[in-house]
Amino acid sequence: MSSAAIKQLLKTNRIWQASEKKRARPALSSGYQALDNMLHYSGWPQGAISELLLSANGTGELRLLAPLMAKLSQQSGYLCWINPPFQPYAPALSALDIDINKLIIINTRSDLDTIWTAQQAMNSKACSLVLTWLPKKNLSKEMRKLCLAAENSQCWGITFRHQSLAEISSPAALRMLLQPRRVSKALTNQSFNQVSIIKQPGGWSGQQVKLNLYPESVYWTAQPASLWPTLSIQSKPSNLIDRTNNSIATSNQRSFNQQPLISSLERSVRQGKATDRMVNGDLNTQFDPKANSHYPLH
Amino acid sequence: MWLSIRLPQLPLEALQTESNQVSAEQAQAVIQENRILCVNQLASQQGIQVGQTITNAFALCETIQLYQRKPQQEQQLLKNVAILVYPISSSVIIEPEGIIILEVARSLKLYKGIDSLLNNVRERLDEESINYQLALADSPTAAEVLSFMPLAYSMQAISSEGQINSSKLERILSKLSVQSMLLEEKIIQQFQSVGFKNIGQLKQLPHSSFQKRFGKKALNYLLKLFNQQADPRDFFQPEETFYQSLEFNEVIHHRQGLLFPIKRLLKNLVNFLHLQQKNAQHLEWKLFDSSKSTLTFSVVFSNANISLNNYLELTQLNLENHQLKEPIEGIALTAEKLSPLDIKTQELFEQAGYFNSNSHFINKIRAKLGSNSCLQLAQVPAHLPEQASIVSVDALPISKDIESDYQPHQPTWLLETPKPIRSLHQQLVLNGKLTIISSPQKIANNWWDSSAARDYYIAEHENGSLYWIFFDQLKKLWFLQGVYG
Repeated sequence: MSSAAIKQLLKTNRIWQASEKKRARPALSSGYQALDNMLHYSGWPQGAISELLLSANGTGELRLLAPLMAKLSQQSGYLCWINPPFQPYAPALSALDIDINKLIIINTRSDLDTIWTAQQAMNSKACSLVLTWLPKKNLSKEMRKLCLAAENSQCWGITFRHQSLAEISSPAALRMLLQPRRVSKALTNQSFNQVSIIKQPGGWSGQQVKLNLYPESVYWTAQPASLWPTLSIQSKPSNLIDRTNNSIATSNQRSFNQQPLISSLERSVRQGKATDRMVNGDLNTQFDPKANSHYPLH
Repeated sequence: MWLSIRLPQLPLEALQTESNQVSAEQAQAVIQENRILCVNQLASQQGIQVGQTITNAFALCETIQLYQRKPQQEQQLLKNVAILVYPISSSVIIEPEGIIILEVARSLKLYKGIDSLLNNVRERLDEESINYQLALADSPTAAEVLSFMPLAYSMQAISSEGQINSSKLERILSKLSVQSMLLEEKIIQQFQSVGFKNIGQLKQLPHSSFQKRFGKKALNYLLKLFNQQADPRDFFQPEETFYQSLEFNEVIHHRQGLLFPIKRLLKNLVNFLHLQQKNAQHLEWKLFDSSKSTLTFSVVFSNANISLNNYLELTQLNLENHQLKEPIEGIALTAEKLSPLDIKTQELFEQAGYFNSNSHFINKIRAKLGSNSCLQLAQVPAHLPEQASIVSVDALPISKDIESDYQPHQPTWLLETPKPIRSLHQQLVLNGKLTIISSPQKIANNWWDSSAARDYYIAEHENGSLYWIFFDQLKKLWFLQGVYG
């Protein structure tokens, strides 16, 4: 191969050479110093797809991406969320400094639509970040399409996939496995999420890092189960009436202590002494009259 | 100074609704009352002339394609050309025979002379694939007459300073034959029978005897021609809303075939919108099929720029959702409810960001996946978490400075409706055991809406996920409200 052809290949940024030490590649800091240190580009690569592998939705993936989202939402361009598993909660996102006016949430009906939408969002060059939640399927062809779209538009593309796909190869530039939160007893009850880098651009992979995604959790004070408000321990609401008409179990009786007003009322109702009006009147002191409809009386 | 634009091929060009007709590789002609009205170049080469009968035309050329004249489409095309040249002068006259006349004296200074003005007119007209002939004169009537001659002929009357030399103009008008006057055939024949050959000879007659012989109408025309009498005309007024339709010469069977007429109508719409400085957010398309039923679909835009490509792309996407049952005979486009174009001041220097804020991709996705597929998030001051965050199709008011009830430690994922959690033997179960790891946070007294009394906790699932759960004091049940993502 002539040297001109090699030069041509090297220009496309697709080949990594051991000799290139710190060639500046566009990336944005993840906001977690420990993670940045592990990444050869010191952050989320621009114009590429980064894949986050999760055991379930809600293992801290949004926390991990929050610094990136906060930074990109301050710049021009939209943040697209394609096919999110739940509805994002605006106040919490605002609290993470994410400008929610930049968020576009797109719900799709089929996998084909999801890929098409992600391509459209990326190729529009109007989205700086495209988050795509993909099903538990081997979509390597579709992933390749997304990689090309991300490269074309120079946006940050993040896909969320199930961890069982970790063994299957993927064209994504960066692949990470985010493990659920574990509390470390040794470190004064601090919690950590372990991130394992399966593949990354610019060098060798296999790094592991522990991130404290919920630093505020040290201030949370756990309560023993006996203090939980468990008045009714039924699985279905319809069973409530049966239970209250029968004699109440002692375990229930104990939990009534937390709700003296309710328990006394309930007892009088059970004995047939209380009228509706009385119940209403008494309940008004604590609750809205509408509460009656929820109350297991009728 | 008046500039006339004559469209010699107007009847034929007005029929060009399908792409296959653009290539003039076939002899074509338009007929009216069984006579040839207009021919294309190829037909003219075969010897077919205006006024011949259909039989004669077929005798001269077997393969000639004849079309019925469509006057309504001709007027539509004239109007579109008027819209194209309207920015040059607001005094535009449309003559139904296919001549558009503009008053250009007041625009000369803006365009720095007649030459660059003419170039500008040519540039605009070349965008539409039409044939045209230009002429200049000092009255609309004279401009009309001169448009039947090449432009160079009327340019003889223009002085080097770009002004009309009236004596020169009189001379070139006088040289024209009496037949070129746009008068009734009867009067022209009268001139010829007396022996008048050109207009100059008519002009030498005394006015009173001329009127006696040929009538008042002919005299008025002659005076208007030489700019000796006022020549008031109705000026063209662009309409407020856009409605245009096209009737096809041959029915269209597939969507691809509709592309050309759609593009043509959209091009007219874009010119119209540019002229009005308006912005269409709702286009209504109507397809008329051969069984006399109408397929109607609308295209909605959220962004406020006039762009032919955007309109075309979204119309195509919307069209794909419809099945054509019968061959299509015609198409119509309506754009009402036009909103003023909001002109954004662009920054002098490039913005720091690399990404634009063009919301066109949202339109595209909505066109394919349905209008409620793209949602925006907003924060509302409300007590209950499920009410504090709303998603909506419309662009919402920017919710920047909302004093929300947000307390720290709330999750980023929210369930639209809280999901009940089973509680069995002092244990909360939701596909696994849940353990409460926080102290309660109470939300109560939402009396103005629906009553609520909730104790919120953060719970840890046995798989390590964090859940936001609450105990409803009214229902006496546990619910899952959100997930810490």
